Amino acid sequence: MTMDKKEHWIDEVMERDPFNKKRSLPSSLRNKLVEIPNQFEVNVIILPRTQVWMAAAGIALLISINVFALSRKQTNVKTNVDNSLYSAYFSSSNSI
Amino acid sequence: MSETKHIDIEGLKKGDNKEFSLLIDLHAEKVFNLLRGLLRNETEAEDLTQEVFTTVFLTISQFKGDSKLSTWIYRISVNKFKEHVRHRSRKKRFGFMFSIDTMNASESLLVVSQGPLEDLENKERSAVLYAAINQLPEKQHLAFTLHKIEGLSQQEICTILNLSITAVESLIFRARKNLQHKLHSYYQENEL
Repeated sequence: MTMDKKEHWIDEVMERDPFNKKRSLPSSLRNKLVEIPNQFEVNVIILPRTQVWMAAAGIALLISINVFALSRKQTNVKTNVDNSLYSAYFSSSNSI
Repeated sequence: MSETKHIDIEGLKKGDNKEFSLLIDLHAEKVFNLLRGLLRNETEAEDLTQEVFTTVFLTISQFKGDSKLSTWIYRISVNKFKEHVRHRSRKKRFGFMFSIDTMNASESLLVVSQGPLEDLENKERSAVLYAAINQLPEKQHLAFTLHKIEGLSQQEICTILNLSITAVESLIFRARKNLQHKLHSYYQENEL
């Protein structure tokens, strides 16, 4: 069999193959495809502006309380360290 | 494929259902037929068409318009097909899944059969040819099928497969050579 005939045989088989014949889109499939956007519909809840501001203010207040509490704690630790140094110094001077 | 001039891409990106329906009407049939040709199974082609258009819906915002919308959709279809084939070959490692897949293939061939002797011969020829096509390396398989079945130009194929024109030409040429090599014993047995 020549190359051309072999090529022709392949073309012929492909042409006759039912899966290569164009088919119209099944209506059931079309319906499913058209429904795709509805599957991903997002429900958007719009909050009143006052509620948004109140939530933001609450978060800001919480952060500032934490920052304030942390800074107070650091000062206390520093004062404690200073006090222990003083007491160590004076206890040693008293013994002299 | 009919082109984007009828579809408002911006509307599509905003999630306009009418534009999406129009997109389905213009492109779904071609995608379905492409996947039918590649998979040779109606049910799988339907499932994969749904996956393709779900991806199109979710990623349309990434479409920049530097290629035709149809080419972009074809590219998604080809990628989905590749994923599907890889998934199927992973499943085939298990004997149980293999038997189901084999059963589907034979069922789809039965659906094809319409007449007596001639149909039986056609069915056998198709089975032999497509067994050989399925053995081709993935890129050769895709380039050959897109060219032969879909009748796409080499330019379109290179955009879809993200390859140069020379690479596509070479893939189609090697696919033909490989097919003739694989079919050699069949040609001899049947004195073709």
